[in-house]
Amino acid sequence: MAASSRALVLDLYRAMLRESKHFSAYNYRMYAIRRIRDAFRENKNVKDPVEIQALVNKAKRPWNHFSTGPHWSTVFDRQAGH
Amino acid sequence: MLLRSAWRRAASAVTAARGARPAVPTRELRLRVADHAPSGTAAAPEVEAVLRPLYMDVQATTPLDPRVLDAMLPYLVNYYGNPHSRTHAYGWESEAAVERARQQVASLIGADPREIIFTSGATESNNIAVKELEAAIQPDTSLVSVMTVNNEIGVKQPIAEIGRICSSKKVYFHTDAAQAVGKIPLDVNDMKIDLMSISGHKIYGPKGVGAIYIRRRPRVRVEALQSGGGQERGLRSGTVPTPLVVGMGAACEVAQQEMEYDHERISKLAERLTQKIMKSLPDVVMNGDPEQHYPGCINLSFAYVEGESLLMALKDVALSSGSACTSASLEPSYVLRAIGTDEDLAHSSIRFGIGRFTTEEEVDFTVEKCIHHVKRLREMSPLWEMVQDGIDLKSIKWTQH
Repeated sequence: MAASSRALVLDLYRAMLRESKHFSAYNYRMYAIRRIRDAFRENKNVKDPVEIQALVNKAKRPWNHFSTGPHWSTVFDRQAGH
Repeated sequence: MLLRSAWRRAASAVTAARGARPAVPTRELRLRVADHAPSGTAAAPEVEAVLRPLYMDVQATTPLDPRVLDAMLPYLVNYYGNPHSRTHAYGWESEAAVERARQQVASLIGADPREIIFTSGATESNNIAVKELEAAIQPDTSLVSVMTVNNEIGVKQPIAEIGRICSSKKVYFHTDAAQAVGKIPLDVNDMKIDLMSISGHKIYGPKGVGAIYIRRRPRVRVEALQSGGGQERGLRSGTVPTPLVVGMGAACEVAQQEMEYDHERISKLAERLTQKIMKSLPDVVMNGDPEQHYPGCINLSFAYVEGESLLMALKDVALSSGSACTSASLEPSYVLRAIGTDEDLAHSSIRFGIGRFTTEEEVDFTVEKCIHHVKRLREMSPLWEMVQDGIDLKSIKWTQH
């Protein structure tokens, strides 16, 4: 159980970082990368699986409004100016 | 979907039309491409490849946090009902969103949701609060109104002590917390605050929305500035703008979660900025109390350099020399004058704003440019030359012509 949840968390981490790189606006891009990295790093020693699941849900939460998945960065592409 | 592909075609047409990129991208006002160009025409207008200035003016306004926009979008696109419509789902879901946002704002300042009234901004909230004084004038009634964190020099006022004194003397206490909410911990009960003004766009929320906190126990009576349909408990009539209010609630919730992380990071960046500048330049004064200070607002005076000319020289960075509300005049800041700053130093002040999205690179770039231009301007300054020669400027008798 521990091994697979670790893999899932790492997958989520990589996916979120990959998505963050799509922000064309410098400030949002750097913030997203930095915040995601720091948040995952801060919680890296959490052992309790219930707590891990809660943290994973929290990480995924803000992107609920886009039914096509976490493509929220493209919304900002339009506004940031090309 | 169609909109996005049309935009992509226009963007690629623009990229194709661009000539050779300049060797070093300059940071200036960017020329906007006409967005309404018909889809995919090859004859796109010329666009200069320039970057916009760095943003270091967070006290004037802040960008929307992506999480805030994410919260607002459904209410701009799908859930567009009037929150005061009582007879259908559009109204109910909109009202639910408003009440959820109200809870989020209340939670950030330790208040009850019933004590939060949404307004168009902190200015309106301030007016409501101060009008209360006029409405209830009696020999023993008065109002103390203090800014929690000053927007020009970042000084933190001793709110808890002021609250205690006001409470003991039965005087109402109002604070304009626009620059403080979500950045430093605030609790209206611990600090004995009766009225508080909150601004949306200072905490990475949308512009055009704010809130006023009005204590219920003991009841604080205020008079409505805006009369009409009786919304917001009759204290502020007018349809509550659901998308803006949802954005404000989301901004408050994000701020509550991010307060510690942001504060630590901003403190480090502020330390970096001031240390680097002070190490490389003599005769630089930081305005405001160094202890009771919010780190994200740094106001520095560079002696022998005129503030406006330094701002113009620092065209690659968006900065301010004081309050945006008073920027139209050439008067030096009333705040600096009030803390007893010398007239000439008051004219030399620049305000650096560090926020949630400010990066270390931006701070380093700003510091580098600032040092370079201050040195350059001082080289040109006859006053600086005199000081270098050991002349005491205060002893000079400037002749009248």
